[in-house]
Amino acid sequence: MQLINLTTQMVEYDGAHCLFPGIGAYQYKDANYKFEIVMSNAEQVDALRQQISTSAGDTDSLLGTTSDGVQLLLHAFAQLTVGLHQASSLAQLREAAEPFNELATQFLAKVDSGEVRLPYIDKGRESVMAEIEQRATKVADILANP
Amino acid sequence: MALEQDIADLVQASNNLTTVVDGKIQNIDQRVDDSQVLVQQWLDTRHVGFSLVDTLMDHSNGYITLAPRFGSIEEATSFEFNSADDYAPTGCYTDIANTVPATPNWFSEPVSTQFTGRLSVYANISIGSAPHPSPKPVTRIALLHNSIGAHHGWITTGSPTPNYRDPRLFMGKGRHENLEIKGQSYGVSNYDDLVSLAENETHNVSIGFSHVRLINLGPYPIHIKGFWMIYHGHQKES
Repeated sequence: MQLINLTTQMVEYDGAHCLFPGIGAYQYKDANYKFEIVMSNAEQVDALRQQISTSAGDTDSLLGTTSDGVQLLLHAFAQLTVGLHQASSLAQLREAAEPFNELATQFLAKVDSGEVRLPYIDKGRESVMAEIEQRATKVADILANP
Repeated sequence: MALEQDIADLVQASNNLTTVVDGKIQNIDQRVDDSQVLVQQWLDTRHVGFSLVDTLMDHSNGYITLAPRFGSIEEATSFEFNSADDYAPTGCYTDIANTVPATPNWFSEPVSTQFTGRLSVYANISIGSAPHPSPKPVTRIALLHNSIGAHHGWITTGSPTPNYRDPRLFMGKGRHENLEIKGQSYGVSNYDDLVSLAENETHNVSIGFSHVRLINLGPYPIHIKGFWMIYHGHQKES
């Protein structure tokens, strides 16, 4: 990334985003310099990831949460599948869905109210689906033709 | 009377002797002081103890290729800093971060006592595109260091409006505005050796130093593969 002093047109910093000491380091007392930060796409992604790591959790923490989520879904899905398979009436169908219903209802209410925000919605469902498809296909291609 | 005169002469002779001896002692003391100064001066200019090596980059970082800013040696040789563009020509410069404090004694205590205030700087730079060409390719570079906390990082002007003719030259050495270097390049990193940028010299790198900026003036492309700053120290009573 670059830090450009717009007042003097000097490139004050040109290096890794992670080593950038912040604009404050380049402001001199009452000089009131104006600055611009220029980052490549890769650096912007890196900066976002650093922010996520700092505020939401590092990669291991995110993996842990992802793992919890998948296990929760798998468990609920297994319960639902078994319940549906054994159900022979509408009442039994409702009963099969009941274990997860309360949790699902609360979760949806939080999403609807904006209390909980899901990154995939901000990214856009089509964009996320395209990423899933492309990434899965590329991995499958490599595994099929190592 | 004769006895009194003899005693007076003896006292005078004794005084004279004392004066001479005192003079000799002062002379010896002075020579000892002078010798201590000479020894200290000698010690201050020599690395006889240890070095704190700052590896700003080496092979573990890969290498940085800089295009030449100018296409001819004549243009490169006549370069002087004159505008903001001169400090960051696109594709022709790089900033290399330091990791070791350049100013051992500034604010923190207990203070270090073993550094001589002298520095050696070496770089591993490939020039051109041949392993051992004759004549050696000649290219020119400019070296700056920054100073966070100053009015301008790369310029020494002490007011908000920079004078672009005041580059903060690396280690405060005038030669670093436009320095000739020679070398080789065999597959960029197949052959390695060192360009000596400074050897056991005093330096004017301030407390706000964080980066060296290297600008390739040309006319050859260069590949920077390593950069070391070696802070010399001696071993003496603290």
